[in-house]
Amino acid sequence: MPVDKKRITGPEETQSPLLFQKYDKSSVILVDENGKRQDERDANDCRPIFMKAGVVSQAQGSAYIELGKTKVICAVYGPREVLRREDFSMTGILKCDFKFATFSCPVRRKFQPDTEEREFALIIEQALSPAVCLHKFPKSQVDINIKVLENDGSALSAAIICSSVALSDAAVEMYDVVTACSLRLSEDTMLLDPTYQEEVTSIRGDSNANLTIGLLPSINQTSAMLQKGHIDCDRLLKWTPLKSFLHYLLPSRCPSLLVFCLTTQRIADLYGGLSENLPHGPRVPQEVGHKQTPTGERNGTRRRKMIAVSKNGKREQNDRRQN
Amino acid sequence: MATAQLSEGEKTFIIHGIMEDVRTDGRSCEEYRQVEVECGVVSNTSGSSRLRLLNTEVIVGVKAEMGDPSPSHPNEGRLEFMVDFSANASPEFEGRGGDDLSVEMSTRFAEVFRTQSVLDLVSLGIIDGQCCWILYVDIVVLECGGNLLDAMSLAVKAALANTRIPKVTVLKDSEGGEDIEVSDDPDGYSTLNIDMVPLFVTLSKIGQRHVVDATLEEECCCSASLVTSVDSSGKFTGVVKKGTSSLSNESLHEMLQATKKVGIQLHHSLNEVLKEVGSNTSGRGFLVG
Repeated sequence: MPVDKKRITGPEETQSPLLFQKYDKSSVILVDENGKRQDERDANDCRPIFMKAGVVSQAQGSAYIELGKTKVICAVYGPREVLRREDFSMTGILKCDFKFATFSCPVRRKFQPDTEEREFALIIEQALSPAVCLHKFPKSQVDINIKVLENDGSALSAAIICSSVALSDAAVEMYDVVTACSLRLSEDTMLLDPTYQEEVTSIRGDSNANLTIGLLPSINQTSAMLQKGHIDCDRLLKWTPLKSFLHYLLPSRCPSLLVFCLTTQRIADLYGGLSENLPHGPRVPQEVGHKQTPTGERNGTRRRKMIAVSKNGKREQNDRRQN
Repeated sequence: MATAQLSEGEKTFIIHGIMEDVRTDGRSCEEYRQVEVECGVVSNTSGSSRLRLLNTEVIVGVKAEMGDPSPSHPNEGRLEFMVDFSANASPEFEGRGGDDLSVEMSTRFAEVFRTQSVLDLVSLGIIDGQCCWILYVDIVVLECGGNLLDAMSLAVKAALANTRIPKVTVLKDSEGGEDIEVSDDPDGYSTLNIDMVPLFVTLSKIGQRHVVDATLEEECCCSASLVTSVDSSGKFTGVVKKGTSSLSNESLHEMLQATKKVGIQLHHSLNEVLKEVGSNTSGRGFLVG
């Protein structure tokens, strides 16, 4: 693989201390006798999700997601003109850049995107393409930049969800929101939304695989599928219960989450106004108010026009004007 | 990928034909084109093979070199894959043009071969923590006629079957250090056990049906494809969905079932051929008899 010799990188002779730790792999138990995992979840439980849109003020759209301890941030720039003349096409192009922050994984990652990151970028591009109305922005491209701040498993699924929320925040026209979930399959267990520890623990001699699915829930179509590891065909096909689970779980959470997170009037109109009922699970960011001034402008002005409702119900902006 | 320029009429013709299970060259949807395999074609390598899938031609050379093992697996050797698209295949591969595609394909191979039971990597270790065999598997694409991944994986399996690793003896010298001696006996070699080496099977979704071994023209009509790596018992070691379109549940199920069936047949056919030509090292050419 050609290596970039122009950049000055740190010394390469360093090694992570984790490589010198001797631990007994066979003593790691993924599911104990009560059917509970290491973090007290059931095999079919997802970790609690927190999502917020509009976190990067300079970008047209952005989103931040926390899936348990996995943290991913995504910024969307576009649609804008294609940077390279050779890429001219009558449909829009999605360009995705995926990167793990160097401190995000247990073993330090290189500054340059490595092969796994390039593969994930390609998969996310292909996962989002069926959902985006590409014919609406010809000769243009949309840049999606994803950064994983902390990787505790299911980073690819978190990135797919985060980037579709960011695309909707950027008001890129879409047919559907793309949801994703990861699964850890082995001979007799199926663990939903695995943590990093669960993903890498390999049981030698047993069939074990990691599967990530990207789904368009409204039309029930799969847009991304990545399986790594060793698994029997029939075992793989048994994940249909997962699909229906995904179909039921994430979209029922996502619309209400979207409504809550997104502050653009256009998206709020789509879902019939802001919902007062908070979905079960995610934490409430305190600064998002209940009332907002309709504004036609995006990118920056909308935040200034947000009116916070204070505890006594009076509009604070009114108070400030009077002073 | 080198793409053919097709008109809407030609695409419609192909799609309608496939709906009736008849492709433009007369094959059925789950049939492969004629495959020619030759082993031992390059004499400077530890193992090599040449594969021709009608219009797709691929040469694989395996070179065994000694190097440091990776710190996480000190007693195992490893494989390094590199796919090289030569400008012969298509003018867009000239210079650095083929880099993106080459990285993508090398990653696919590396990912699949990283699965534990594919090859016995412990047999490639020489001295724990210090020295091991590193097999550099280099794939050169000479002609691009569609279905590259399948062709490359067939050629890689054939080349690995052809690989001869010289026998190594580790001697302890007087100061307590270790000395490695490589046997120069032409019969002093060991071969790799390739029983569990998987093959890629690409299923392309065209219209409502899926086809195996798509030609360049069929790839233009394809909206999404599923690239699966299957081993000889039908187990999957890696599945990736490629393409900008989405797949429905039923399609996915059908395609995975078909992959298993086609994969097992492909392995069977390749093993039959390798029994005859797998150990060939004559270094073919027009001048050598």
